[in-house]
Amino acid sequence: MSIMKKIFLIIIFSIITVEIYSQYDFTTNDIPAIPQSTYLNPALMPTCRVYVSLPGLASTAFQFGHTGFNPYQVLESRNDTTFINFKSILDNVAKNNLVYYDLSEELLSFSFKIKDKHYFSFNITEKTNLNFYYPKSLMEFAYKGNGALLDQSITLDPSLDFTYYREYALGYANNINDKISVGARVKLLSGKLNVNTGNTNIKLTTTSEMYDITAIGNVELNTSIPEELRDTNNLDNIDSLINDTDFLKDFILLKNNLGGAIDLGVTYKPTEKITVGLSVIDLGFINWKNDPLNYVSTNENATFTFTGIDVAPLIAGSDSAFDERMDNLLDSIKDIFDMDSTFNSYTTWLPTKIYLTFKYDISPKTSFGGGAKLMFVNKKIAPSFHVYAVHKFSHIFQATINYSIAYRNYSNLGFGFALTLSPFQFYLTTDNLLGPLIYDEYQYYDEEENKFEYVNIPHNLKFLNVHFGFNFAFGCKPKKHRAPSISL
Amino acid sequence: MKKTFYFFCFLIFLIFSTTSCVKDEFNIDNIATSEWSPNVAAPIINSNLNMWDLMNDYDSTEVFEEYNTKLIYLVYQGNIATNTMENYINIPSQNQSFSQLTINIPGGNLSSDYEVTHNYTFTLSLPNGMIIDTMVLKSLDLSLNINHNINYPIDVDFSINNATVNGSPHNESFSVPSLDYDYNKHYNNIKLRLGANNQLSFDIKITIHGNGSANLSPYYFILSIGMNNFSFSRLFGNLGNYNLNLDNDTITIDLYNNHFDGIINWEDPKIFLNIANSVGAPVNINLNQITAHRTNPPANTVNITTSIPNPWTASYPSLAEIGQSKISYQQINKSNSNIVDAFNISPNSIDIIANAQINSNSHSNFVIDTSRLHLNGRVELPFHGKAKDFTLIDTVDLDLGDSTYFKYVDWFMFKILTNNFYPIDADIQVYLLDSLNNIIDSIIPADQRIVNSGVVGPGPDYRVLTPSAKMTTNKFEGSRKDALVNVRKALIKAVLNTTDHGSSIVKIYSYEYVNVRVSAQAQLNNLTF
Repeated sequence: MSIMKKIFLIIIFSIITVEIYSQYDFTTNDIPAIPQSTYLNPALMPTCRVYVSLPGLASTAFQFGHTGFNPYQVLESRNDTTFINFKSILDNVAKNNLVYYDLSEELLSFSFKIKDKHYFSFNITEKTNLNFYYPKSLMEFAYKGNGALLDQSITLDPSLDFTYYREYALGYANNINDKISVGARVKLLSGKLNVNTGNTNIKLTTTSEMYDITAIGNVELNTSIPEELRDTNNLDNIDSLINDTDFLKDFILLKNNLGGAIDLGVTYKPTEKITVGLSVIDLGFINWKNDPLNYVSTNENATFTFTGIDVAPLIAGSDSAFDERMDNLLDSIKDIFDMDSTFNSYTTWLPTKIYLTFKYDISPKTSFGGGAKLMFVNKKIAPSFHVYAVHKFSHIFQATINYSIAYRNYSNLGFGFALTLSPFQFYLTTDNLLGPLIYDEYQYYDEEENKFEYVNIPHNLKFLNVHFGFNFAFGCKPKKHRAPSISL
Repeated sequence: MKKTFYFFCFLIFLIFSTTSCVKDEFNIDNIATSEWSPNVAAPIINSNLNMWDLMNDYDSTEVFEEYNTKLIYLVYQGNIATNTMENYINIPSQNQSFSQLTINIPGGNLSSDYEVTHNYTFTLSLPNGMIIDTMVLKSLDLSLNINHNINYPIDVDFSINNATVNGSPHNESFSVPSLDYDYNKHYNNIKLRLGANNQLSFDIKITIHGNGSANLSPYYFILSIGMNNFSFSRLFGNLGNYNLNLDNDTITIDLYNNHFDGIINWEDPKIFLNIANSVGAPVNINLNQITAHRTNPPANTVNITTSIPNPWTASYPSLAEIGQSKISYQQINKSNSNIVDAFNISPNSIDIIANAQINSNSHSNFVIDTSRLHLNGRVELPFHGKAKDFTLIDTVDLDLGDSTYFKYVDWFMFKILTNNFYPIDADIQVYLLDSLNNIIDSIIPADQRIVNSGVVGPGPDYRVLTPSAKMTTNKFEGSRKDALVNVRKALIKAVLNTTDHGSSIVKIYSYEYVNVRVSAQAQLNNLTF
């Protein structure tokens, strides 16, 4: 029991205790002074004419999202101790739940505008993202047991995609006229690591009559991991691996896992004060060819129904025949659900996002707007929405506040600013300012210390992100227009 | 490159290991789990139980099927055998001293060899009127004693006429170094051919080597022959008469071991008596008594009287069939005996008391040392008949565990689904007993106990046309569930009736079975982990 408890709690705490996550998301997009704001819509042009990143510090972004439950929803204090309320977990998870994190680090970037009509950008960014889906039925199965879900097809398959890749992106935006801007960013992708569950589905059904249990399963697990990293001996001695220059060179310059992606965007100003934007980000794939290893079900839609053990040999008086029959049963199950190991290359798609934004300029310095994001992961859609207000206090300082609905969380108050002391620019944004700041205190009894202790756990951890960086920015002040002279 | 790699390794590590940092600060075991009360359900048993299974006969030593009809029948058998013939037929030692032979050597002092030949006849004394033509002995000790007064060196050639040693004619040649001399010889494989009335004839040649000494003839020469330690491998001839002891043959009828009440009326029970005889002579079997015994209360005994020949002469192998066993049998059935009455007492055993006698009357008879007589008693009970309230009771140990685990079980439920392809109604109950044999509970609700027979077609085949299905459920909860911690034994009681409450005759075939499915559901409560 203790092991189960630990596994369960590790899963929960893996979800709830990551302290800060963010990425260039809604809030970043709201501040036009930040060049990275264009990453959500390549048709956008930043305020300053030229940007050059501070190598390694230009953009650091973390994001975490979980559509399931919040810690305060499943932890409760009773009788001086803290309980995990399993029923609350069930009550608060959706049919499909996504645990998502994304982190990126921009190694190099620059951009420049030509005559406010053309905008070119280039960046090299390291990215990792993880998408882990788990169905509510899996939690229901664990909590209620199969006896409470008779005659129901219980979906048990979680899906996982973990990708680490490098992005080389070249962007171009064009103000076609005063109303329409279009932009595109072409990305060359170089994959480093991937673990992907592919076409995996596992279903379990228990009949109500005699509780026959039928399992239907397809398992596909694709991995592309350098051989050196598969070797656990190397992992135990990671220092020597890192000091292996040849390995580092191969890993960093890994060029077999090539892929491509494109970002497309358009903005339209129906009036002087209103801007709407539409973009598709990360429409692309990576073909994993380097050290691929696939585990695939030998039998497609393998099905096995367990109707009970044949005890006839036992009744007949032969223990050995019974043992043999049990072995045959286990062999049959193994044969049905057997896995093949192959070494085939495979393709994964990036989690493509669609952004729809609008902005209304109340004044030259103040705007408000909103947006919707649809993220496509593993044939599922994770939507999020937000509204914001941004104010340009001066050409030095811009700030925004916003409200987001993301990952089934409705209490995300975002904040961000860009401080531009030309040529230096620092920016910091988050879509959920309060999440990591408001904690709940839980009491528990420490048996080792023989006294009550307390632990603080953030109240809201369903959607957190932070994005910050330094840029060199030039040409941020708007040109002064002289009054035309009239010669008499 | 290194810097970049380090940085990303750090970031990845940070994401995955942040939780570890938290857990290091905070022992997760200190967080309790709230009520976790899953409901689990699973099939446990799914078996097609045929008669081999039900009769606990996996290796098929008791249940057989007729090749053509697939009708199955029970077989119980017992074997008895005589000792091997070498233990019955004992050839005694044979000794004979022949009268003095007088030797006169003509002329004066003997300076050259002088030969004397003589023929003897030795009549073997054999028991039980045996008149043997040929003996093949795997062991024989021959001893010769020579007593004489010849003052010259002498050599003796001694041969048994028509005898072979390892295929060669018998002959013993030896010098006689003294006036009273013993010569002994052991044979491992010697064949003796006897004349009329068990007579053996010998030839002896005495060679006297003249050495110029004085001729003191007449001389005397006395020969004594001893033949000891006879051990035969084969005997041919008239073997005489021998009584052979057979132990009592008890055939246990396991079916009735746990019989408590009721009756099975077997339509056609049979007892086969099989004799396997490898003695090459007529053998008479005397069936002194065949008895059916019931040891379960109330005890009862029925003598089975039969009109089969008694004594009964068993077949025997001919000379051409030496080494083989000849089979002969008698069948005791309802037409030549009261066997039906005997089986109506539900006997636990059938006892057969018999003996045998070799009645050799011909010179063409034979016996080999390993010859013996096997008597196999075989009870055959074809599943053809009717059963009325045939009650079997058995007790097995059953410990349902301690209260440590029961407290986590709110309730549990059994489901038993039977599909009965047998023409038998079964009223089955499993009583749960404590250590003092008090009934605590029972597995099957009283109103759901009876598994009905399949629907039986008309005679003479009485085949089951459609099976009968029965679902039984029983839920244990509350105090009823809690009481089960005291269970230490299970008493299984089955009351069997053939279709129509035991009033109709049925047959059971090898392809019939009862499918038994047992499933269980449990509501667990307050689990923690």
